[in-house]
Amino acid sequence: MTAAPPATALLEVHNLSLFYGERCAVQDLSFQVRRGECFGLLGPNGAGKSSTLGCLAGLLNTWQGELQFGGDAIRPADDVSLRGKIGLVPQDLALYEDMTAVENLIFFARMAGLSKAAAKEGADRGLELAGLTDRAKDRVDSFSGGMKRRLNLAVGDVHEPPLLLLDEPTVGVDPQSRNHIFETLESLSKSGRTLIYTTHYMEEVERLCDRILIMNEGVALGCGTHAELATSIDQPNATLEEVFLNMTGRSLRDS
Amino acid sequence: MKLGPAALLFARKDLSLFFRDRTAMLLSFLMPATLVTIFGYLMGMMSSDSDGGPMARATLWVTDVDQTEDSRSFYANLRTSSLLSVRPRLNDDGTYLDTAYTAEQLREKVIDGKVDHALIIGKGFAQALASAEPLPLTMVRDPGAQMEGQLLNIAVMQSLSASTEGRVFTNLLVQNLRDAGMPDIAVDQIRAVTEQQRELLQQSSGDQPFNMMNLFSGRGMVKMEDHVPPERANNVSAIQAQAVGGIAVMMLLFGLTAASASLLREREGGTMRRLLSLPIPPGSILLGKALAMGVIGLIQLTVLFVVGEFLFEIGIWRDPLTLGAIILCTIAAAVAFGLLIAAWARTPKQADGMSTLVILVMSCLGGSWFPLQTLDLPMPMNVAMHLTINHWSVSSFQNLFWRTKSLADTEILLALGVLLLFTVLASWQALRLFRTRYLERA
Ligand SMILES: Nc1ncnc2c1ncn2[C@@H]1O[C@H](COP(=O)(O)OP(=O)(O)OP(=O)(O)O)[C@@H](O)[C@H]1O
Ligand SMILES: [Mg+2]
Repeated sequence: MTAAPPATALLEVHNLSLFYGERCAVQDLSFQVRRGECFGLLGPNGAGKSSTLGCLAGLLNTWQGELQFGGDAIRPADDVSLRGKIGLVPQDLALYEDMTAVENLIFFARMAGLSKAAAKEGADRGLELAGLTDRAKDRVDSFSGGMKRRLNLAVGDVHEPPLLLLDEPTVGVDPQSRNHIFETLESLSKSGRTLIYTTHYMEEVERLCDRILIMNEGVALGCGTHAELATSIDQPNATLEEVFLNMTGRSLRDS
Repeated sequence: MKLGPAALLFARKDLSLFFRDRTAMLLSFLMPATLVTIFGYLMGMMSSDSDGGPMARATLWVTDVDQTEDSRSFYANLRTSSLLSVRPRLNDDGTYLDTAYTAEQLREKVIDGKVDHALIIGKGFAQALASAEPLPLTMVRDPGAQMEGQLLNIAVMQSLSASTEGRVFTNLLVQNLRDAGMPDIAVDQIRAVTEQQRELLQQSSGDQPFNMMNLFSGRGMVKMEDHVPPERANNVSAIQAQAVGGIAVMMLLFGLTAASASLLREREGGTMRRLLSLPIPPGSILLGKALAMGVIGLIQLTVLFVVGEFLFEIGIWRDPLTLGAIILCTIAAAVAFGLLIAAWARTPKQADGMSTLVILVMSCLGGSWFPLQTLDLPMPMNVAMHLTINHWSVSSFQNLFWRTKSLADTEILLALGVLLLFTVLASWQALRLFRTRYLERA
């Protein structure tokens, strides 16, 4: 594992463990996310990606270990103002189906503490991000699955939190829209925002992420850039697929 | 964001969603008003006093075999009874609207189950009346029709005493004396004196028909002394105050539990996760929900009481402060109840089932359906009644509208205190459940 210089780390996770009753979802997980980078969490179904993000976003509060944000120890579930700095795009759709796209955006922006004017601006930006400007006044339940996904992402980013957690935001989105989302995320990343991107698609992390954490069954298997991960298994030309296969003994796709 | 502003924002979202669905909104406001109208009238009919309102009547088939002046007078008097609907009915010109059956036919109808009660005025009715013999009156009936049976007995007695101007009572006395073996000469003397008394009594009651009740009240056995609180709205009866208050609480409970179930929808729809990840205190979600529910409840009750005022003149303007206090405490308790159910339930189905069950039981035991508060209930029922939200607000509404008590009244204060105590305890428990069910494992 490559340790990042502490000065540039926005988020530090030390020995994070999470149990659901008896079941261990995350075990002794440690990683650091640098300011302005796009950090990938790669792992198969049930690896513990959503659970990890849940701890960071303040949805779960039963975890053990230590989280640091900007150098300070944090407990997001107990810290209201901190949650304003960490945004979440949940894996499952989280929209009011009987409200319009723009109403959803404005409501969540206002709930995140934005003024009316700022919320309006955020909503316009969100509509553009989601490619839904012309459907702004349509109810969400009249949208296709992919459109809802795009809106789901836009709502999560409507208040532009410094750290944005994206939990598989492109599931069910067609290639063009996916491309549109990637371009947006790339530009967010370039503008200095920090992203944690969760997926089980190799191509996505390869295209988007500066560094990648590979996890399986709650445990971190490796962390670093693609090149660093390839080097760590002594196959400098290995694809991420091959890295994963090598680390777990099975392919990511059939797990 | 702070608790307050976040809660307000959340409440606004809920309310705008609520008002958007026009049909659902109208239903939730019109339903209580419709129910209270039906209940109010129904209860009013069943309990109608002598002031001539419409009334539920018992059906009685009659046949007059005697065909004398006395028997016809009795028959005619039965037709004037406010408790009876006498068959066969008459047309305006005196002809029969229904078939007039003979005594034998009526007996068969009762056996066939087509008629429940048939009164046969037998041959010799006038004769027996004159000679103080037992009257040939037969009630052929299906004993299963108990409720009407009670009404019919009272009505027949009333008509009999009115049409004979009380002679039936003298006759009864005479028969008893004869049975006891008193010599005829003594019996005749007593009969003469009693008849005199009776005629005096009949005269003193003016053009009022002879009424057995007057026998007591007129003679000073029990003097009726009526007192109506001067402030009571002129028309309101205990039962209407009860119906309006009772329906109000029940509908409020139903309406607000339905509204609070949207808390579960927030969870199922995934929006709860997003809300919990936002910089707002989790309590503001619960508080916002409560605020929105409170506003909906307030509109619901306002519509209901305005309708109640319009139809029954229950007197909502007499003491707006007390009415407002009772309304607010009732809404608070109903909101807390709704939140408790929503926080407790793991699925909307659970919430639905539980709330329906609890609300129906509470409404039944707490006086939303029947006027329990004016009765002296046996111990276990009495305790159960006091454990319901309904009781405390129904009795407060009744104390306000019917007994014309005010906020200074200890009973009202106690009831409001109980409602508020419930509100605090239920909200606290709801918050606790909300934390464990929604936060830890969201
Ligand atoms: N609410 C819950 N209660 C109990 N167990 C849970 C709960 N949520 C997740 N788990 C368990 O925790 C483990 C990790 O789940 P998690 O959702 O974090 O995986 P994931 O990496 O996000 O998977 P996916 O790619 O399918 O979204 C799984 O074994 C799962 O069964
Ligand atoms: Mg997941």
